[in-house]
Amino acid sequence: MSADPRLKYAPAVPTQDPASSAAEVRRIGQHPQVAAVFIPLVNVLMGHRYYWPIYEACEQLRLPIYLHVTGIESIFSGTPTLAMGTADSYIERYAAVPQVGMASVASLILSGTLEKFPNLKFIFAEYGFLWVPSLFYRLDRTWRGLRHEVPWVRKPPSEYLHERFLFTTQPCDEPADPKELETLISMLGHDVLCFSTDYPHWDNDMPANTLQMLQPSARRAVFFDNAARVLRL
Amino acid sequence: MARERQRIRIGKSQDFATGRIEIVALEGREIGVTRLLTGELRAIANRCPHKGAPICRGIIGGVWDSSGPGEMTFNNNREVLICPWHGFAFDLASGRELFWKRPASLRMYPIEDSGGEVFVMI
Repeated sequence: MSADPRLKYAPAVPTQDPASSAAEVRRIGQHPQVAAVFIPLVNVLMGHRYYWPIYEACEQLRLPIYLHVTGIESIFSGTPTLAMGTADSYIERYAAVPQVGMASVASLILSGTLEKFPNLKFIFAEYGFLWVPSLFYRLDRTWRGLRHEVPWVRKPPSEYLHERFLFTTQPCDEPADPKELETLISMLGHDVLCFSTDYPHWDNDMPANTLQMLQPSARRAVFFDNAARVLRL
Repeated sequence: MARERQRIRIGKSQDFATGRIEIVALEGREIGVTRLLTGELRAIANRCPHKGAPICRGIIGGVWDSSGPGEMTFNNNREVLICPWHGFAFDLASGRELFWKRPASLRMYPIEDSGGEVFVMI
């Protein structure tokens, strides 16, 4: 990192011992090149108070939480499980892994954790993003009728979406017609999408080909503004 | 040209109490009538603006409040009608849906208590 101060990173902090994780965040989080903290999840929903010591440390240091698919979901004991069991193949697990993102986002909102940590933001990398509008339509509709279960959720869930979350562009699950993708992204909102590559993995998105159909203002949001707003730069 | 409203007697003042809704049939419509804690009456179309449920068969109550995750308190100061189908909550005084950024509204009819006789204008 010392080679160029423009380089920023998100150090990985294991989460099996949250008190130690928080201590580690405080030890390394002052470094000016740290822009976020990556937490590989254990099989505990993200809104659970288990993670609160880590969130508290990150919020104090103005560092967003960065999530990335680890590749070991539902493979080792203690890792986030996918619904209904262990997939038979890599492709089956790959297709199902957005479940972890969906469960995490719903848990963070409905648990009240976002109210407890009002300045903490979350970046979900490689979980996909086209499922997000569907999830929030469901969250908003059910919150209108079932808010009595979670009175600590003080506003419609979709308002938290735009204030507290980013989702990254890779892997882009593209329909054949780019106009359909543009429509889907506008349903999500240009303010919650952030460019990513997953380089050098086999399924990376080539930067020059990513979301070419976006208009200049949306492009600037996805490729620059949103990350600049959320990361500690 | 707008139809002139009819003024229809629906009962005596003591027939309508706080905390419950009496459903009356008027000219082919069902209208729920209830009394607020202030003593004012409300006449509400028995149809939820969300999906058309017979909302006047719902529960009148308060709302849950919270000071933080896991903390729940019941605030019974508000008069709230909960739809029996999807649970959407409406403020009885204003008819407006609570807890939504673009609140829907119950259809309300003018109602008056005249010398102990209650009339609805439809």
